[in-house]
Amino acid sequence: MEQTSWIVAGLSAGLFEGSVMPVKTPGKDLAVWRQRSGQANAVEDRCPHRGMRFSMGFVRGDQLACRYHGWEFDGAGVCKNIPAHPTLQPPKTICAKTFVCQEVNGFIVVNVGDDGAAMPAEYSELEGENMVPVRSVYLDASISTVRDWLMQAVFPTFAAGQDGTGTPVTYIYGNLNDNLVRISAQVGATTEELILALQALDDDRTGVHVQVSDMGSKEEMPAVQRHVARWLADLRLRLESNDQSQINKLKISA
Amino acid sequence: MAKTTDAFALNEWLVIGRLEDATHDKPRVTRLLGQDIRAERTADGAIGVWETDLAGNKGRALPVQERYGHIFVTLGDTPRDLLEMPEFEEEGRRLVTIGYVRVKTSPLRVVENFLDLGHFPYVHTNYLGAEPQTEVANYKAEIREDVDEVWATDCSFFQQKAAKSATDGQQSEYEYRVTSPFITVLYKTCPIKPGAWDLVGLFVQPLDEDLCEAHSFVLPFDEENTDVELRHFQQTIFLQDRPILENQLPALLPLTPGTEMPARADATSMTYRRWLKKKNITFGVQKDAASTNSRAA
Ligand code: FES
Ligand SMILES: [Fe+2]
Repeated sequence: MEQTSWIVAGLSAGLFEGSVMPVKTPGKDLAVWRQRSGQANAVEDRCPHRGMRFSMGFVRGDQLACRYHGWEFDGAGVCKNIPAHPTLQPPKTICAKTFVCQEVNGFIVVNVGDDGAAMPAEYSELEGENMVPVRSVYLDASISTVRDWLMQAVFPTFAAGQDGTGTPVTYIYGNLNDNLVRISAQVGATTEELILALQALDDDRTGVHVQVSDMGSKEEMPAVQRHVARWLADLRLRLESNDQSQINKLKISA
Repeated sequence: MAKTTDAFALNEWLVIGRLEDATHDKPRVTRLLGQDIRAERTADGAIGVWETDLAGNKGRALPVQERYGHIFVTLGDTPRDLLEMPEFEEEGRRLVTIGYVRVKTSPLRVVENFLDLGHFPYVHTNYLGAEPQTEVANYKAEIREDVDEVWATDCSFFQQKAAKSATDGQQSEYEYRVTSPFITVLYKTCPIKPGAWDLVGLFVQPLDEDLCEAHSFVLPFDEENTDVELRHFQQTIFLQDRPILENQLPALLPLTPGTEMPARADATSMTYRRWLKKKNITFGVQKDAASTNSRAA
């Protein structure tokens, strides 16, 4: 699989309007924030003025304000306001470094490189699938380790859990790219699907942003989301236990 | 880290604690410029300070000065003079030492923050400033070659609670004086004595390039408040600064032009940086311009 500079920085649902969050990537810290008007943006987590982390700042309308001296920047990273000089039009040279940030069907996708590369097709192909967000979990393990685990993980389906009849489940694993894993679980006539976006924070920590296939019934979905969230919590405890027998219980081969 | 080789930093008089922090039965065991040291009160009543090795054994004895309520030492052989503050002799003033706050960043970042007027409304909200009064009026910043100090004069800022003794908002007048890369004094309008200045001093103890302890004192005309009240006020202010200081990238002060973009309100910081550059100081300064977006864990 091709190495890409595009990463999944989080779930759209996890970034509220008017909020900012820190996003770690290997060697580069970002602040991802959402304007009041809804647009999500990614910027280097360092104010060009005196280096303060933007992720500790706050959003004012459609601008990101730095916590230290209140300088405000727009979505393109251009400085719009220097409160110490209220009547001054900030020089155009004062800019924060921004990164291309797009939202694809519930995922926030960012190009952390300077390569101008187009978004890989695996992301745009998610567009149109019926998915609902579950949550993001952060694991103390490298991205390749997490990927290996997930590619053989037993996901206890909601349907099986519901009727308790032990209907056999067939699992299909898809590695859409280095950062995207799809787990399909077929129980009789129904299919439950998870899309898991993996984000390396550094060499040994990984974020996993999870969505589940929308199975149609509005009433049922909150229970499905909770069901998946519980599985994720369990997954995390077992993976971080460093206890091989615990880890093996996650695997289909075990 | 090992003791620095920065000749300028080595030849400064640097704070290592308050006089009462080193007693007969309780030495102050700390570090200075990467060198482990130990300060204790000796049999003759004076404070002695020694370099120590990894096992804590005393090595070389260091020159010591007990002044301004604090202990100063130097690791160099030809130190620049410690600053003079004649105000310490003035009738009616009171010295209150604040103690120290440990900050995980370059000591130079801590001094620069102290010189900064623009952050008052955002970091010290409703104490030293508040929106919408965010404007920093023009002031004068210069290197005074004759005394080899940085000065900023004619500074003013509207403050809600400028000092412990202030009850209403006031337009505070400020002067800043930087006498060493690690020492700065603020002269500030006294809220209760027209025409007089209160002093707030900052002595930064550089432990490592990205770790320091900020010791401070106030020397005001104030008969109303107890020492504890004055101490709490200053500590509140410093604790508001700490999370800012520990979240600047990079931790070491960048002196390469273009790495950070100042505005006119930063004239003091710009002058301070120019002065540091002239002195070829490297301790606490960012070495590699490429590694801006990182911070040692
Ligand atoms: S560091 Fe961001 S406004 Fe000053
Ligand atoms: Fe401050």
